Amino acid sequence: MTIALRSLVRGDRLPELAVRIDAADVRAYLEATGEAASASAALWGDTMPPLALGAFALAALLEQVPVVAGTLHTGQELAFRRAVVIGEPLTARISVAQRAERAGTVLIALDLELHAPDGVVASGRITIVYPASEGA
Amino acid sequence: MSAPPQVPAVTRLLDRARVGAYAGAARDGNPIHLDPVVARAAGLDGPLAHGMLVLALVSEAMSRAFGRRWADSGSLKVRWRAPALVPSVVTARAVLRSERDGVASYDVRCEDARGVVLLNGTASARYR
Repeated sequence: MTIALRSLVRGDRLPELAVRIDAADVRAYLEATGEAASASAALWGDTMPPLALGAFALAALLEQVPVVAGTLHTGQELAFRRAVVIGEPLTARISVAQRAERAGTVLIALDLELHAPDGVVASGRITIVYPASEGA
Repeated sequence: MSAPPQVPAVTRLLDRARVGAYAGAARDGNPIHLDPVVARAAGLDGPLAHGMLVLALVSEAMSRAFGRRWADSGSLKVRWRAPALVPSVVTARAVLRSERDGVASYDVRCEDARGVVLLNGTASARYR
């Protein structure tokens, strides 16, 4: 089931999202970003490059809340609490922290927590803007 | 042990192939990143690289400086200031702004080859 981006209001909590990331996902991520050819790629071994946590959480969000035409990702906050082993079961808890409409655009800030079985492994805020009306 | 005063810069070409690969890997097929017609309809001069792909250069730079500590204790807060039009050569830089209680904080930015700031903000990590 998907949720319309335009329906979100402050205080909404999205259904918990499963974030599944396997070794092939991480290899593809490192290749795509170019980090696979960097010295830092050797750091990760069986753990996730930390920003990939944010990228895959965003992907899970996009599956549940498809963007509308003209949507832009304008801000990102992330704090990493510990390295995450590839394949660890993760869930994303996302809530709407802010919604503001101004000058024909809507700004929405989504608070994110990524949970592993032992607790929060990363948290942050995703800020996006989208046109206030269809076809704007 | 003190914080690295300057994190090594990371420079990378974000071209159509890389953006396409990122769209697949990060499961973000928003056509504004891939389709010139859609991008122009949104008022852009062409497709733009994913913001998280640009931000990945900052994360890579912090990883080079802090190693696994970046994954254990890193944090960042950024805003995208301008679109990284495809293709762009993007450089991520981080300059030390403070260090306290074993945590180093940096001003971070990504610029294109013309010096246009695409993203800026802060990043922090524990260094001891």
